[in-house]
Amino acid sequence: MAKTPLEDPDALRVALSSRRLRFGLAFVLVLLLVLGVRLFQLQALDLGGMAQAGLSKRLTTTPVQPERGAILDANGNYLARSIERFDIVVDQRLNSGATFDRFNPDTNVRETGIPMEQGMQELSAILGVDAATLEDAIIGDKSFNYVARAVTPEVKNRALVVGVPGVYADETSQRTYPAGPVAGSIIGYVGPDGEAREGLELSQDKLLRGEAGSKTFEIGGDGIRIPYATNEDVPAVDGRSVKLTIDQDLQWFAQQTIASQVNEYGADWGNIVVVEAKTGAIKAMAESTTPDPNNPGATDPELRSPFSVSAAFEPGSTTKLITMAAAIEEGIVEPTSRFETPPTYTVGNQTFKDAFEHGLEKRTVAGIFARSMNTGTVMVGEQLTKQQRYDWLTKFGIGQPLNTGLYSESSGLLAKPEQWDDRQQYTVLFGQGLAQTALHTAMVYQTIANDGVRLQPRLIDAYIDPDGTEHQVPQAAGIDVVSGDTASKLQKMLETVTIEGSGKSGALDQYRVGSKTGTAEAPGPTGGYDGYTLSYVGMAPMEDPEYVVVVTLQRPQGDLYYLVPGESFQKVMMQVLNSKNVPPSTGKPDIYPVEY
Amino acid sequence: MSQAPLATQIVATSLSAGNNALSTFPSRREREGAPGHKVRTPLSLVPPRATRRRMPFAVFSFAVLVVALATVLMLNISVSSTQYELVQLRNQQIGLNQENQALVQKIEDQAAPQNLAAAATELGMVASATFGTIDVSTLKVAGVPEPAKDGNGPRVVVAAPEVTVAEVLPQAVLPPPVPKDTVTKTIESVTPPAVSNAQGVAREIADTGGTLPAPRQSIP
Repeated sequence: MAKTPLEDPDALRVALSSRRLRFGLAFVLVLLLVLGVRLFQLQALDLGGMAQAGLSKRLTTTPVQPERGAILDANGNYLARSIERFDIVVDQRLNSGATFDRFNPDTNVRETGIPMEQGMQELSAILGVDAATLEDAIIGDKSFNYVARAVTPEVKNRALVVGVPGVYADETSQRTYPAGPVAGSIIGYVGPDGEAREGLELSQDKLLRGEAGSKTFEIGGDGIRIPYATNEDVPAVDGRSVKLTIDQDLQWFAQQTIASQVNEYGADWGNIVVVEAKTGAIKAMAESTTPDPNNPGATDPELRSPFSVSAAFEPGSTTKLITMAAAIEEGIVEPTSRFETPPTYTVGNQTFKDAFEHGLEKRTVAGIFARSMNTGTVMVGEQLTKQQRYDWLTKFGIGQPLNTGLYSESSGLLAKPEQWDDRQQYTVLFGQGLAQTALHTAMVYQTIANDGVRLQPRLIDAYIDPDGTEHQVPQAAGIDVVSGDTASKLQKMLETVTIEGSGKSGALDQYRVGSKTGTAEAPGPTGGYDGYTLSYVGMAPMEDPEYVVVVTLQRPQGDLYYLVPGESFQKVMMQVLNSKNVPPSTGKPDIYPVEY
Repeated sequence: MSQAPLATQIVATSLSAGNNALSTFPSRREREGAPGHKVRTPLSLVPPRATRRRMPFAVFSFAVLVVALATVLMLNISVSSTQYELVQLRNQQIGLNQENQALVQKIEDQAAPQNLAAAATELGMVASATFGTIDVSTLKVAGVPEPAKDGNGPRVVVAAPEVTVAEVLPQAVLPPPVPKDTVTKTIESVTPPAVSNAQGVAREIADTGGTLPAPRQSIP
């Protein structure tokens, strides 16, 4: 066996001791050290920030938009929801040429040299924008410009197939209101910039909006995400949905009814409120003019708000119910107490007369109420102190906030008793000199229908989490306003109004109805009174009232004799009872004598 | 020279141990009656065997390396291509979502109360002014319902929603160019959503008096 120096330890030692070799080895080691230091410098220290620059070039963070919650009616129909749409946008710097190329997916052929005009014409046909406008939008030197906004996915696909260079699509979300003007004033709308503007969209914005998330990842040159690299996912939290007590179909019916009547009478506006007596749930809140939230600009801004909660007006005779309730509950009168009512009645220099001419009449309290006599009402109500009058109005919710969750709502106006003037102290007894909304009126009658317990009106029934969990909004505890006994007396008085008095126009064939009409003078913009506010409030069925309907007409034109808000009440109440499967009344109406 | 007995020892152990041990070899030699000191002869045979064993091991190592690298490569390729597939599937999901959304929107548009009412009026339906109720427990009929009278139908005072309803396209079929006016419809005023297909079906039902067969009662 031949021995190499390496195999022989002695020879190896000799070789290593050779100066030349030592020098060579040292040189190699130094080189290695230099390389090592450089490697460490590049990889570990990254002084030039190159690795960082590369990473930040690959790293992409995109925000993940949360889905805005929906607004639903009581039966789960969508009144507002968000859908996917696309903005067609352009980077104008990319299409400077007069011709362009594109790939035809049908024939799998690359088409070249297509004139720009042809591209414009094709796009114009797809987007429905004329070619000249389109050219203005696409040709230029901006890096970003809108071509068309919120187009459907299908239009987007076809627009991109045209292949005009620089034109691409951005995903966006559009708010849509499937029911359109039905409940439009309550829902409000979201502006084109995605910001809520009015109605529940605005007041519930915090809950509906949700929280944006983000996605961070590295992306390769081919636009495909690099696996095994940075990947951070902060999921977006979708908004919660809001479920209302409104019944879409009833709401439509009420809107249809009130809009017809307002048209017919040439009134300024009108509304109908339907409230469930035992829950305080608002089933419909219809305005004669309702904006379509899909296109709110088409409606006069003054007429967009929900007047049922935002417009306070002098209610007129419907307030007499509060006066009667107070007088009975305080033990001052009974429904059958007797009064001699003169044609005019003067108290403390203030003279009051009735809407109809009459001589000296012998009437019971129920009779005064049935014919809606101001004279008799003042005779009953003057026995209450001013503070009592104020307290009773407050107990029934006049001048109090409604808390429906709408920003535009009004609390109405009720001055303190010490600020009342000589006449106002009596007019508040029959609903002049104070202001309230139609919903306030509805809740006064709800109190009597619900055996004396006043509930908070409910517009928002529940909040629904993105996962579908429903959180019922609890009903606030009711307020005992009058005793059950007084409430049943008042119910009987209301039924007397329908049978013997001013409420005949709203009577129903198969149901016992309790009602009260109101005709108030409406103050004009320049002071003084220049028109009337007509209202009709009713509840049915009287054996156990379930629903309260309030019809209000502001400044109808024509003779009061021919203006009958009761007709609208009749239609709507019938529809409500019929659609809610309320069995027809059994038994005869139970009424008080009106005269003695 | 001092290494020789050590080598013999190693060879002896390697021959009688391990998987390739030639267990019969020494016993055959003994049977032939060869003297114990002649055992050196097989020593010359050992090196080629050892060389044969060493070579496959290098090949084996190399093969393992290649296989390992190939596996990593394949794994990488498959992950990357899955990424592409993921993007494709995501696009498909978006497409299906859009299709679903368009369909739901179409239903909602037709279910809007004013559109429903308009469609009913178009079919010649009128709302009945009177109705009767049957109390199931007592079998009593309340009310005197009259047949609804032919009228002009209610005036439309609540406008139809101004919603742009997306056309529904089947997935994976690229959209052919269609003339502009059939792309989307902004439904306006009285007309119910003009979805040709659904209306055609509705008309058909109206013409044939419904799709359910009339009850056939035998007359006694």
